Amino acid sequence: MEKTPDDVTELLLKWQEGDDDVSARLMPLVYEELRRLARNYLQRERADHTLQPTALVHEAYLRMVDSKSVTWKDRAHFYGIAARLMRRILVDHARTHNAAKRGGLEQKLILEEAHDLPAEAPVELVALDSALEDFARSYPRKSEVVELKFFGGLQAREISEVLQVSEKTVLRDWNFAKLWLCRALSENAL
Amino acid sequence: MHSEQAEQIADLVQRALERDPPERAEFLDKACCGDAELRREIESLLRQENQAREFIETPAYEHVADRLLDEAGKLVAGQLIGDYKIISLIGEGGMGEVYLAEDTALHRKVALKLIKAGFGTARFLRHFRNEERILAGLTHPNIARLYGGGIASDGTPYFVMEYIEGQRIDQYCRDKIVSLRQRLELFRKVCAAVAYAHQHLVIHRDLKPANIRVTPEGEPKLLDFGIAKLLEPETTAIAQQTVTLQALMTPDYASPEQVRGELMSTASDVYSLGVVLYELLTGQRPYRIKGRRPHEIIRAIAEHEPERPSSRQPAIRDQKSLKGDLDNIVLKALRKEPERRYASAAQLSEDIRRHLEGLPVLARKDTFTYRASKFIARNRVVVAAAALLFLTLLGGIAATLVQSRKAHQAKAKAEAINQFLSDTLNYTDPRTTVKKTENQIITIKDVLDKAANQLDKENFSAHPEVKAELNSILGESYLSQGFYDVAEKRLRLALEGSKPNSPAALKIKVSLGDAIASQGRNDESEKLYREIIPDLRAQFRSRDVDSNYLAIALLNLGVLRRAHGNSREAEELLRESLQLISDGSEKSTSTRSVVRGTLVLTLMDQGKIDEAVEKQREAVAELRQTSPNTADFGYALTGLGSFLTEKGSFAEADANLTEAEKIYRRLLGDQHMWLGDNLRLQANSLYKQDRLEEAQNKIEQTLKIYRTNSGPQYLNFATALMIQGLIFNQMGRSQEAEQVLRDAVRIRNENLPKEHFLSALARGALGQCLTTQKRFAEAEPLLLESYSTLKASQGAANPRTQIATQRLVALYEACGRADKAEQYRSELVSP
Repeated sequence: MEKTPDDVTELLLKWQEGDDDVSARLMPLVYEELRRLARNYLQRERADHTLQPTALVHEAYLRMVDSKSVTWKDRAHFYGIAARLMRRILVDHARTHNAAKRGGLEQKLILEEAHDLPAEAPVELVALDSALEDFARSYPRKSEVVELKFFGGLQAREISEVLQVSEKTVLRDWNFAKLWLCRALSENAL
Repeated sequence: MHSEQAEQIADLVQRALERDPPERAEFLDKACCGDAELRREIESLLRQENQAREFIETPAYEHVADRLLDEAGKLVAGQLIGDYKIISLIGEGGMGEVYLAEDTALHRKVALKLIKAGFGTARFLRHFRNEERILAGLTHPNIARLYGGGIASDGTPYFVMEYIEGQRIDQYCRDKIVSLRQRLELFRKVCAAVAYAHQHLVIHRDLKPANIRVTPEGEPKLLDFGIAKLLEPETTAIAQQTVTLQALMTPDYASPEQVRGELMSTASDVYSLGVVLYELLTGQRPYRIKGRRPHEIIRAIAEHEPERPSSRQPAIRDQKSLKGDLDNIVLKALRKEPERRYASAAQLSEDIRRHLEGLPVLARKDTFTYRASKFIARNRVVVAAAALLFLTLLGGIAATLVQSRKAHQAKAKAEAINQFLSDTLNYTDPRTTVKKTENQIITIKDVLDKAANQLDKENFSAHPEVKAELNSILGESYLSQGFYDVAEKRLRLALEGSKPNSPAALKIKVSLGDAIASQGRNDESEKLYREIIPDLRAQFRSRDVDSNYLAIALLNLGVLRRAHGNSREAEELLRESLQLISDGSEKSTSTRSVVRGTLVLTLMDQGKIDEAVEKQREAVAELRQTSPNTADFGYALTGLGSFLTEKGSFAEADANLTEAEKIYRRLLGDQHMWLGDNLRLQANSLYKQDRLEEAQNKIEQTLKIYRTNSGPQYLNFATALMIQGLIFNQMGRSQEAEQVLRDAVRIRNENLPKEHFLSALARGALGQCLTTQKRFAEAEPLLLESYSTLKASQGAANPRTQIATQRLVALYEACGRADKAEQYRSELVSP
């Protein structure tokens, strides 16, 4: 668990330069940190059950990265990286744990059936991830919107700053992407 | 797909979305220009509109947060939580996981129970500290010990309990094919353990086979006593819904009042015992419930009458019929109305014994008791079935008192009185019980208040000694819970009913003095102790009171003398007290450590540092053996560290202080006042070693903790300011130093008499600061006054007086008055 900011900073820099091998080494470090932070957050804020992924990522970043030696070109880059990280982390996590946890989840649903189920059905992250990959081939920017909003937890206004487009464009992209992905997933399910 | 085509699709879909659905067809007719494939694609996407509305609107993180949390909570083998090394996961419950772990300090296996997120740490801890003492005090061969608890480095609270290698009681009975008689005898041991806990005012609240283990030797052991209650205030306040759900998941052993969310009592435990007994006899639960849905189970528990055990398939073949006694016994324990059940676990156990010996059982007489209590209810008299029982017991107690003082009869009396308390606790008719507002639990104070009220209503004209005895027990209980004013009231009532100068009266006075002093009336308390100590000595010699009472009286008078400034007289009293408490019983161990701790302080007051250090080393060594994982051990280490600082053995002082710091942080968290005190002492030591930056850091942490928890009225707050001022002064930041030191002096003046040595010390520190600033005229009166006050109250050789003397020498040297400097230098013990 003892990782100095230097390790992470160096890895992040390399990753940014396009060295993809780095991500395999980076992930566990950032993942551990995010997990730890998530746990703290949940512990503290269980009552109102609010969890801000942006805040979480930001805190993890501040803790792990020596911001003095990394000269991020702009805010955009940072959020881009963060959202990509979150996507990788969450999807990887879902991939390794889905199978094992399914039994438990079903049991939980049975126990909870007397109570309200969440209005929104749970999203199958692994399927969504591969659909998003397909989507990105035709719509690279729109897929970035999804990454930033869904995985990075950013608001439309922030996304418009990151991608240097109008807020209206962001919302249009988002609405279109949802239709496309929703269709892709329901086709998958059939 | 070409990107151009893709963009075209996206563009048209987006524009269609901006139109009302009826207008879309017309728009697409025009836009697609007869391109059927394009139009199909667009329409297929638009069909998703409703389904997509809520789709992925919640960030991905929230979908997995719970799962991440679950997984993050799991510990792996070899991981250290405090001093405990995780061996394996042995269970998962509603509250969290239970691990088998090794206590690395004591080299024994323990069960470590992590409390899941949701129980706010700080509040949980405060509650935990209150109850821990009571729970840790449960020492019964059939109850798994609670060793203590703490906070893991990530903030998760945990309990450490005796690890029991054993089988669940139901499985044990099934696998070992235990006979009916053996089952009943095993069950009676369980009842005895529950009864013991009830006498200590602890309710289990979650009795079920999973919490009753049988060791390979065939001894039952009860787990998790009182833990459910410990968690309750948090759960009701924070995670009401989650916990309701948890409670619903295994409600089979819950009592009707519990599933209805009403107040729980010892009667609720009796009910759960009834369910366990039912299962041991029949292998089945009392209710046939079709579904396993929570509300169905709740309804059955609250409304259905259980079937007679004899009507179910028997669990044991060699058993005689369950018909008759055992049916009645089980059903009596399972009554819906708490007041119609057995009045106590002991009574349930007793009835089983009577059955085993062929005697008539109480369960048959139920209808009479029931009718009687109904009659009372109709007559609007606020008494319970428990009170009836109490009245019948009275005759027995009185007879005991009158007859003789033989030991076993005294014991019977004590049991009868305990019975009264536990029956009072048992009395839970919601219409007449202490009804608190929703979500509140009954505290020990509530129970005591209820017992006190009931006691006042009873007529004891024939046996005032019994009433006195009960008042005295209540007074002691209030005293131990820190309710000094009510304690005093009860003890005075007890005193009125006792024979003057009897051993009983003297014992009451010992506690009364404590209650009085605890309310700040020191002179009154001192007068009382001076009166009774000669009598206690006489009666101790004639063996009418045991040494503990005399020892405690001496201790309390010693504390009062020291507070008065007379440490020498205090020392004598404490030495006598320490000598009296020589036996090794558990109770006297804790008294001894208090006496020794106080004695050490009086030695320090008089500058007898070497002896103080030696005594404190003994205390540390003893605690390191017996209870290394307690805050008390940290406290002893802290004390030793501070004395070693005075002695100038800084390296050893710092080692002790940092060891204590680690223990505090682990057990008490990062905000506890004891930690603040420890950091202050570290700062002091570092200051004396001229390690100013480090000292500065520690004292800032100290002040932060003090400010968060208390404020200037805390005795050591001004001490901390004084240390901070001296550090600033030494760093050359004399203006800041002066400001802080003036604050310290002001706070002392507001809270303490002018001649108190602490006030004198604060003025001395300010004087030192002014000397540094060469403001000699202002410094001199402060330093002279500080010196003479300290010399008068502490003696010239006292380390504090020595510091004051040193300061005067420094002043006179700085302003060039060599004669004066020489005069005071001659008073320094070691130059």
